[in-house]
Amino acid sequence: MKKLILLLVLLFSLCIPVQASDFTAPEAPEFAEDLLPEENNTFGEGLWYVLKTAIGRLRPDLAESCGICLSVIGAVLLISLLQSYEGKSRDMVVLAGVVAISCLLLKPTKSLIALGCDTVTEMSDYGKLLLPVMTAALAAQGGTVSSASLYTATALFDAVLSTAVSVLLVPMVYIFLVLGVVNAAVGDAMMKKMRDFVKWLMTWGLKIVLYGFSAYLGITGVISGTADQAAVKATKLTISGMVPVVGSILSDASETILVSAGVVKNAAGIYGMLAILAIAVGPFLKIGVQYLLLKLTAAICGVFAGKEITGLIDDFSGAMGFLLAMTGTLCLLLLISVVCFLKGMG
Amino acid sequence: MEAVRQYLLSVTAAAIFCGIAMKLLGKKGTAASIGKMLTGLFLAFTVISPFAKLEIGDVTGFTDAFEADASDAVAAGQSHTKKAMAEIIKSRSEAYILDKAEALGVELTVEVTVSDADIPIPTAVRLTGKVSPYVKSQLRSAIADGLGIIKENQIWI
Repeated sequence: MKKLILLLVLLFSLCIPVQASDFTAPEAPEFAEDLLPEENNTFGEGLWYVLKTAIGRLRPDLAESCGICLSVIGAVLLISLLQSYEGKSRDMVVLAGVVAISCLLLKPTKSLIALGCDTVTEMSDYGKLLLPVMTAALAAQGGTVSSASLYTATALFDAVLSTAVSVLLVPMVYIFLVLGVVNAAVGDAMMKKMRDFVKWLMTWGLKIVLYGFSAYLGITGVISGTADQAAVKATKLTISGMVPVVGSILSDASETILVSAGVVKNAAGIYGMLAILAIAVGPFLKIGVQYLLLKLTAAICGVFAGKEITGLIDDFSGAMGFLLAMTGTLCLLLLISVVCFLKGMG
Repeated sequence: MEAVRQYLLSVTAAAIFCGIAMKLLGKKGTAASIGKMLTGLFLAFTVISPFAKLEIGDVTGFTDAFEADASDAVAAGQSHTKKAMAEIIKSRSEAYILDKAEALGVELTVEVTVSDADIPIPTAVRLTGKVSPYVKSQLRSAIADGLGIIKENQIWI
């Protein structure tokens, strides 16, 4: 009986809980927390839950976007009726039509641009909280070089992109719209070229950021992963060279820490990815719906309106496309980074 | 970034001004030709002149802040690992000694001290309990051979 009690005491003394509270993923913002599932089973299930919930809340935005597009179609119908009259007033009708459609679309466009900007800021802020947790968790697993280079790359590109969005890209969207409006009103080839140049510059800028980030991760990931693997191997060799009992204890302890750090890192990473998606998905769907409906509106108006008017509506939908690209680029950048952290040194 | 924004705004404003001017001057005639040339020169000047005053600042320290933050995060992870390992090694070492003591038929209170190195190893032990010289000698050897704690660092109370 005495031996049994002693054995139980020894068994309990061997069970050492590893503190996981240091590697907990930061909580998502309140509006995103509502989209997350209460129980996190797998990433796929969590992702499906987030999408389902976000789509379910899209109805009011869909109704609003439909209303805007219907009012644009109504205005374009009226313009095309007036345009059917021949004479010098045709140019004035086109000019009036451009002004009318710009006024109809400017307010919703402004609010969506502000939404896109806020979404980029929220994602960037959440990334700044998540990165140290993932870095510490990967470092605890032995990936000291990989984690440091991943953190530096992600933080750098995140800072560049979020600053570029607020200081450069959003003004460029407005410049694009202004050039589009002036091109539609005046019909000048130079305006068209400038507008296309601004469009190209924004697209190219976002691509450069994403390609640059992926290339940096790909190259440094291979180099730093190899360095970390060599360091872990060297540590294992050192441990195996120690006295038998100590070596066995150290080896078991090391394995326990690595496994538990990996489990905690994966849990934090999966929650972090779902949180990033939850932040981005609502605004992304809202802007995406407006983008698609404006494209449809331009296609419908192409039947009875002139190319100036349909071109202008296309430009407004193009602006929505840029907003999608901005939010999508930062979301993808953060997701790629978290996946690299989850992958670890292998 | 702000400078790039100002540049784009000035180029856009110049382009809009040139476009409106060309529209007002018409497509044919002497005025249109002269207007085309002047607006072209004006736009070219607006696009090219900022590059003449361009100064690229020192960007070498741009990533310093990020690297410092990365180092802090990595240090936090390493510190957590070291602390967790030290706890496990301490408890397992104590369990080993208690197991040996139990095999020799004695009851002891054991407290192991581990080193502060990257790989924490047991360096000293404090044992409390009444034992015979034979048992003490057996335990000393077991601790020295099994855990690598030298006899000078085994404190008996």
